[in-house]
Amino acid sequence: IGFDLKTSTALPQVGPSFFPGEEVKANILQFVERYYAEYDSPDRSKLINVYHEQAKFSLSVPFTTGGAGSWYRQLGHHFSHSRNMKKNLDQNQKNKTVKLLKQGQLAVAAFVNELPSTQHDLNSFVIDVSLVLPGLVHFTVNGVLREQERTKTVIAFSRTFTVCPGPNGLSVLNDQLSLRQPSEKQKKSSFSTPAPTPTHSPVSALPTATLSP
Amino acid sequence: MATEAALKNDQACSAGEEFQKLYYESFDKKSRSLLDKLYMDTARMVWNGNVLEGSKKIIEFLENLPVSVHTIDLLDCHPILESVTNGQTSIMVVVGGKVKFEGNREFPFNENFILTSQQGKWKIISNTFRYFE
Repeated sequence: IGFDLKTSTALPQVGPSFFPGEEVKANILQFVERYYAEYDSPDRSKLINVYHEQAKFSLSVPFTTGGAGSWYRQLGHHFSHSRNMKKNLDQNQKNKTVKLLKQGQLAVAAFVNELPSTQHDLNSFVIDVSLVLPGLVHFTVNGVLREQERTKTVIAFSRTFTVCPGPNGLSVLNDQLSLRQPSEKQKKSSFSTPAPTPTHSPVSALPTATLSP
Repeated sequence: MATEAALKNDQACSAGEEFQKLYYESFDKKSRSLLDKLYMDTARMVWNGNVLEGSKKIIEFLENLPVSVHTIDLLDCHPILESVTNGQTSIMVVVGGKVKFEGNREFPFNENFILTSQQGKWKIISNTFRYFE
């Protein structure tokens, strides 16, 4: 006779994007569509208008030992900007890392403008809106992207925004971008629908159907 | 003299670091019921698209997940502007890594939290977890 301590190993099913209500959904989808159309265009300078005057931005790449065969070598150009704090840092390095947070509309917009040109696979987007307060919405966009100069490398990303109502629609207060090695599934399914040549035709319409449950 | 912005930035980073350690240690090694104290009663969690409203439901859900091992390789934190949170001190904590649930393969994931100060303690008001799939 044994003991009934065996727990289940079954995991809950993975569900689609989550929006708490239709109005929030419409607003966020519209924002995401416009944001990435600009972000993937050859010139991101117009994005300055979506950032709040006290906006904050940071980019993080996972901390790896970066050995010879490491996939992350392909993200080497991002290492010096990576604000990832999950490293064994001494206090000096820590202070430096803390400073990698870009603060203020101009600093954020300038930095975002200098990041490599990208193409996002809108069909890969999964959006979760987890917090809606009267003056604030917090949400995450997960998906895959390619950088124009390294189009063979599919990069998984997770981007977390905090937005508030602003003069031209939603205004971005916090913007955090994490880059990661894509899963096999992401690699296989990414950019499977032929995309327009990104430098010439910024995405004009986000296929809402793929984003809705 | 450190500016107020720098202080807020430091505060967010230290809190995020400590929080991340506490959260995943309790999750993996100690008891997930301890996490109850980290969530606000009215917190919302979106776990791979599953929506849980309220700390009670969240803990119930977490306790039913198989035994886990999280390997965290990314942590980033921002202070949130207080004028949009009614003066409440709040921070955003972004965590990335891999998680292995017993009987399942390892999944890369991203998780983020909004923590807000309640009577001198940080509490989670919102939490999103997603596999990179």
